[in-house]
Amino acid sequence: MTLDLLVFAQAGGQEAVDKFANATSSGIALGAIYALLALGLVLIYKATQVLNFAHGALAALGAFFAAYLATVINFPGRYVTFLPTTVQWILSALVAVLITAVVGLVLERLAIRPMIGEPLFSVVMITIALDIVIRTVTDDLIGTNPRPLGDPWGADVVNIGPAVIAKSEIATVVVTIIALVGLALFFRSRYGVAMRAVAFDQEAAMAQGISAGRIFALAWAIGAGLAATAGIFSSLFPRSSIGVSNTTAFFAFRALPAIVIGGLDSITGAVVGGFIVGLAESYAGAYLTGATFSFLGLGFAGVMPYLVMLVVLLVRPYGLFGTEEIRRV
Amino acid sequence: MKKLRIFVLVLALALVAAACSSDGDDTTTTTAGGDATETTVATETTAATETTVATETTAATETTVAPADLKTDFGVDVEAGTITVGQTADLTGPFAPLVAPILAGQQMYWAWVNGNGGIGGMEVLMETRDTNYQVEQHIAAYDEIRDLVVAISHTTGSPQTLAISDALEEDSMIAVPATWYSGWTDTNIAPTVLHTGNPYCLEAMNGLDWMVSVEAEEGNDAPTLAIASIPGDFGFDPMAGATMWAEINGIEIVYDGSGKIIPGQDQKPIADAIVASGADLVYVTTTPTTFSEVYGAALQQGFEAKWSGSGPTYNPAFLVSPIADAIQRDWYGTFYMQPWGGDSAGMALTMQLVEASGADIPANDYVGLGVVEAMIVHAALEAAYASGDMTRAGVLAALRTLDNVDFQGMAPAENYTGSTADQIQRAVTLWRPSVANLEAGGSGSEIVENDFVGPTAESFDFQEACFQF
Amino acid sequence: MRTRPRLYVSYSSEMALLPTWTQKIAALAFLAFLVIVPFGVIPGLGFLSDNDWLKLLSRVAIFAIGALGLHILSGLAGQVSLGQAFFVGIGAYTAAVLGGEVGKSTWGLGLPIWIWLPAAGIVAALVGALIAPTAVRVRGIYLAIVTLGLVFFGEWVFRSTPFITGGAQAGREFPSLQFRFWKEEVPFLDFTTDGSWFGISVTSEAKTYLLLLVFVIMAVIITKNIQRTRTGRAFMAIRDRDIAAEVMGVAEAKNKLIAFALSSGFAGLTGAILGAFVGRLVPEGFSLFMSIQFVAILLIGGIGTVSGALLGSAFVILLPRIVQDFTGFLASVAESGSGFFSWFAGIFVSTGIDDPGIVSTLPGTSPGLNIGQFNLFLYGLLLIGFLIFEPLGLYGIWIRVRNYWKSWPFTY
Repeated sequence: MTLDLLVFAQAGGQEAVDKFANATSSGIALGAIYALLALGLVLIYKATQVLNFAHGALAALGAFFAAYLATVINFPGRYVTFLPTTVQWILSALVAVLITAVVGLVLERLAIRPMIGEPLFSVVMITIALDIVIRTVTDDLIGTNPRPLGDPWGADVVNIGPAVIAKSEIATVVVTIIALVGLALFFRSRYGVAMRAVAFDQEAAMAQGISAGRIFALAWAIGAGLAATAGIFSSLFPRSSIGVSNTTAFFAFRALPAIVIGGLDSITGAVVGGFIVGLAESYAGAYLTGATFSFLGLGFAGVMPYLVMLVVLLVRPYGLFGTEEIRRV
Repeated sequence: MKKLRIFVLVLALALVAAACSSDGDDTTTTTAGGDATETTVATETTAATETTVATETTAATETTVAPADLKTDFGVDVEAGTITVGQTADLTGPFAPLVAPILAGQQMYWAWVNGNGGIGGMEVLMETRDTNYQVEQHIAAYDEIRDLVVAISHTTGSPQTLAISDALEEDSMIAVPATWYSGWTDTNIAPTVLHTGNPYCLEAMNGLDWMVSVEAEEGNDAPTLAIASIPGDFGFDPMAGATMWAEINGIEIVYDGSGKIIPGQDQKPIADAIVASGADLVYVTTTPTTFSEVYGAALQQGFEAKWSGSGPTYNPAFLVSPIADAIQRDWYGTFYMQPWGGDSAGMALTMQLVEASGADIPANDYVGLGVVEAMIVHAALEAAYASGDMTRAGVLAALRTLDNVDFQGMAPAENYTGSTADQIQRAVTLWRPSVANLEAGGSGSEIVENDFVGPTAESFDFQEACFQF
Repeated sequence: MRTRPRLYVSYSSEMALLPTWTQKIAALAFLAFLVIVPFGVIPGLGFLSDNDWLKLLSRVAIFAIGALGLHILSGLAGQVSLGQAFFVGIGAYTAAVLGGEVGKSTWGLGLPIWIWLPAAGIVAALVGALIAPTAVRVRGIYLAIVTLGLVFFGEWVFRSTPFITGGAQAGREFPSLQFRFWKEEVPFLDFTTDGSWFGISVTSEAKTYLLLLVFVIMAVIITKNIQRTRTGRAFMAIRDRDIAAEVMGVAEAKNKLIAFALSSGFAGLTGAILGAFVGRLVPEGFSLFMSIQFVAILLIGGIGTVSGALLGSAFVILLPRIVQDFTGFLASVAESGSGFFSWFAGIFVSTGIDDPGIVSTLPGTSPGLNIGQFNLFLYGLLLIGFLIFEPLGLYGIWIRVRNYWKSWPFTY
């Protein structure tokens, strides 16, 4: 009898461990995508004081470019056929990220530069309007059918301990770490220091000879590139098995709580916030469902990050790592 | 800077001026048959199909009614010689991938009809509005065209069509929905919305009967079932069918996620629940993208089962995505008519119209659906013309006399007279996804059986809609 | 001279809404114009009396009321809010539950309009007051994101309560614009059927339009009155420099709460009327897109002005229809096949299966944006255009035009 109970407990325990492990691993993968999105948003906000509501559209655009380059014209893969297909795909993805960065540059010059000094309301609205325009164009480019990205990982999974993780999810986390390291190195470089200076005090930085305009452009370019990376990884299996479609752009709104939790002007905060939100959503989806939680209605997991955000804001109105605003009267 | 502002102003004024000046005549958009060359090629190559479609109704089309005697109210302009049919379609929303080929099919069919004398010598024009699969936009779109058209040849979405069904009844306007909600067959709900093909709940029964017979062949006599769907009529109707099927056949439903799939949310919880239930059969009805999320998340956990769902849940794009191999293995597809490449005169005509038009439309099951929709409206309009009454009420009355609308083998013939039970369509086409089929130039749907009626659907006593709020 | 607009000779004339006779007459003339629109007697604008245009104009009126609410919160008090759609939904569903039909699968108490309409506004205002303390603690972008979160929270609540909202994708019926004393069969004032007033026959769309016109005028007067009271001035002080205002004795938290409550109240009324007008709404309709529409209305019309809210509402709501007609017009010009205009129109519009063009009126086969996408694209472009080139919006353009003519011929 006790043996049966033990076996039962063992089986139940194993199941619980499996569930926890899977929830955690998918939470980390989701968190990595949110962290990439949050990084881009925070970078743009820190440098130019603009919250980029068009981030999702840029992400979808980047994913489209990757899909087009990799599957339709096979660029630059066709010129380097001696390399393995994985590397070819990575090259296509890199080119897509670069193109999107250029798009970010153009956007900054055309739409954001004229809005310097305008009230917050207008600035918020212009990025929303940009989102509408870019999203419409991207939807038209994608066409009516969703486009798979042609990535080398496909539907492959690996078993790491009790968790079953898709190879693309591992790739996502690896790329996020690379992006983080890259950013950390960047902030130690000349332009990185210049960007930190501009974020800290724009006028003083300009007095030192730093071209604020160039920094803005750079911030938008990197931000857009990060958005594209996030877009590419959010269009892979298992998150979206059929690739980039007309709903990919809306994914980025789910990352907004991450930047608020972390603090709008903190890079570390963006990453931490991203992972918190990813894990919160994943755990809510795994544990707060089923008959006992049916009072929570439908799709509660999507609201969970906003609730966490609200709690954090009530305790720390500027986010976990954000700097408190000092305002002159 | 200043010049740009002036330009913006002028542009705005131009828009307003154009709107004011174009209130009457511009609203009939360009014809489906604007290009003369495309239709002549069609008539050259198939002599057989040329005349048969025109005579699909019982009334002879040679009857010429003098224009002065023809009664019309909206949508028919005898002097200009045009008949306008409307479409309230999802062009930008989740079902756009399916709607685009449907409308392409309609365009080509009407162009062909126009090339062959039109209806009573009058040309048929299309008036399309986008609804983005949203109820409010659908209502607004219908409001915009209700006084311009004589019939609605396409409307996307069950809840959306239901939302305008009162207005349709008020206008006595017939509407062909691209949805298979069982309420359209129920004569008490939406009397002017026409049914086509097998309704969702019976489709579910047929699909499940098929899957269960394959399971039995593989040695499993007591499979378990998991169901999940999007909320609304589109989701709840097939779920009602699946639930009734399970009750009748004594199959256990181990997970009931009806109405729990919310597009835009993370679908992993649903997938986890399906996997945790360990079901052998899964029946899911939702949008294609959302389905791919559920299926992908389940696949990641190594879940293997037989999957099926209502027709619009599947998108041929699955066959070129990472889930291609898995979906080939797992999906048991049902469709309301013959998929692309089917063996019938109607399908031959469709494939030929596509080729002749020269447009870049890949082989797709839904092009034929557009042709079927247009054929129904064609039959109604011809009958109405023959009876001399082409008011909307007249078209509705004419339609209600048609008991055998034939689609030349492309789809089962439809009966629009009699009671609910008389009009119900029980047969579906069974097909499986096949990459080989896709690569050979087909639409990726390998037909397994035409006109399949499972034992449950055969004996089901259909008196009213399977699901109603 | 009496006609100099800025010369006030008494306190009452300074505070008046329409100080000079010119303004009074102009306002009256404009009002008269709006009233006779549905009767089709205006030369050149006769098409406005068509039912579909009247419905569009009614929609303009409904959104104008919501925009006026947002104007109080964002234009007067300077609080960035993306959450207007949430309050519109609250008001709509309050009205639905109180006034909806009894005995259906969704809750409904069948109460008359003089209960459900004010209740919608009051309940929404209360919810706004509840949210206010949290909203006061955050400012700027954080407030924008918190109000955005409200919209998502609202979407969750609405789709999880099918007994109130009818459930996602399906929606429910809303009580219609019929005035009763108490649940009797025949309403004494019915806006849903055609009838005749003073011997003139009016369609139900015309009646609804006139009723909504009355509502909008009431909303405009209330807003203008708020603007010229102490509370309105407090709002404007908070908008300009909230800490300095607090130092001067303007209680920030209390006034922000009043601003939220008022704005949500207006939004609630908008929701109830929208439900009554459309007849059937789905919970997905109260989305971020609706919030953005209100913000866009204010920005395009001119932030901080009441006329801006009205102009912007007219522009944003009528734009899709104008674009539709314009594209149809271009298509017919392109079709006519001759001349420069036809060629130019042909570039813009694609008319055949293979004909390239920026916009195609034939979905499915022709390349190019379809009408829905083009509408959205133009909407976004116009927003960007206004924000960059004319931050004061349509009202700013009007001021420019007026000033030009005021100082003509000395325009420099």
